[in-house]
Amino acid sequence: MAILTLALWYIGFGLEILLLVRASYTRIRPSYPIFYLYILFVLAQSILRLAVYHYREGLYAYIYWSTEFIGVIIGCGIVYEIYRLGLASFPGTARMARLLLSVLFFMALAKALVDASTDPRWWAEATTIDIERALRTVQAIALVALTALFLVYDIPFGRNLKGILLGYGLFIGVSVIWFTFLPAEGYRYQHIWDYLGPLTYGLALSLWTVYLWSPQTQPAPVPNVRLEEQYQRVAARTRRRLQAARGYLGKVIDP
Amino acid sequence: MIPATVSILAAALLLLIVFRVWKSTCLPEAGLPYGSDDAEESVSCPKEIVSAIFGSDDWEYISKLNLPELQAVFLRERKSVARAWVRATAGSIHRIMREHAQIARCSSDLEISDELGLYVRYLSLQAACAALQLSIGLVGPVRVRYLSEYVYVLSTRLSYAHWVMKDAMESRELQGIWQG
Repeated sequence: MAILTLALWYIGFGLEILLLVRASYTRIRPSYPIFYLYILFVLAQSILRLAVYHYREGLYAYIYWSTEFIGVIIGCGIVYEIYRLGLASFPGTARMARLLLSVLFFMALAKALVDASTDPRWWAEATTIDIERALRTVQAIALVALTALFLVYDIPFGRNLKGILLGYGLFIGVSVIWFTFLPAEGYRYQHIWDYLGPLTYGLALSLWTVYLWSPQTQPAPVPNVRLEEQYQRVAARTRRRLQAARGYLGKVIDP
Repeated sequence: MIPATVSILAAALLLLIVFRVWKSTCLPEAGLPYGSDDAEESVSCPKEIVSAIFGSDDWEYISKLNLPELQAVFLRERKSVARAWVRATAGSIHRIMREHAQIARCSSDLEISDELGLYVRYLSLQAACAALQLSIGLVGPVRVRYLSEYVYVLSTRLSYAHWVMKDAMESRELQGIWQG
């Protein structure tokens, strides 16, 4: 089994280098700066962890969790990058997204403050896995809200952005599920995560490699005369049309 | 700390939505043929036919013939026509919102409260279509109108009872004030 772990580690390492080299070659890196910073960070983190594991084993847990949290923070930057690039040509949806993400952020902050004030021991008793699960859950909720807005408003995904979203969404989704079950089972199945974690991340890296192989610009909205209209006029027309549809539907059940 | 159920729900939703994005195409979008302002124009079936589908006239005529096989065929056919109409109506409502979203997403002056109001209205209409589909499946199109008539009569009676009760309570309160 040690061979499998090592193989997964080497594959991940190779794919990270391939992604970074390819990004330099195709000059795609400036378009997705936070995403490539994340890949660079994970690569540096892997080398650092390996070095510490071999030469200073006592420091490993400290280094592991410190780098893990920095990774989560840069990961929040990826969510921001998806928002920034995906909605650059869509100011209306960007406005909705800003409101939605602000509401989510303040709800998470309020929940953390309430928990800390009602039980001051919370900070001391919460394990690193608890905190990481909480941060990753907030990321997952933010990604769900953002992607739902993309789907509701029919925002076209460019190939590159789609790849970033697919890979990161998959990795966060599996991580949250696993971090929730891990402590509940008394860390009995920790060894499964030792394989599942690198496997999921390897899958995400493969998706990124395929989708970010060549640069592709984010599609812009199709120009249309009606796009220039003021929002109030558009909303009033939609309201009128929905009202008419409601009246039409009501004819069926109106006694 | 965030409850475990919230985490699991968020993760499951995220994986579902990622799957949905994976299935979507990367092709540049084609422009939608923007519809007219009239909703009834996009709902293709004329009003008279809709009234006939859900009306009881045809059913009363068929019932008088006293042919059980014909009655069964009639009910089956009428049910499928009614369901197709509800599906088409739900589709046209969806199209209205899709056209709206295509314009609203580019509006820098988008009003969030108006937008949320429109989506609430849209969701309530879609829910009505789903309820109608369910009712047609359970009781058939002809009885849907009977059912709505029954609900209407019931709600009228309820509101009358409520009005009488409210009136009685108010007069009792007034008596209390006078006596006090």
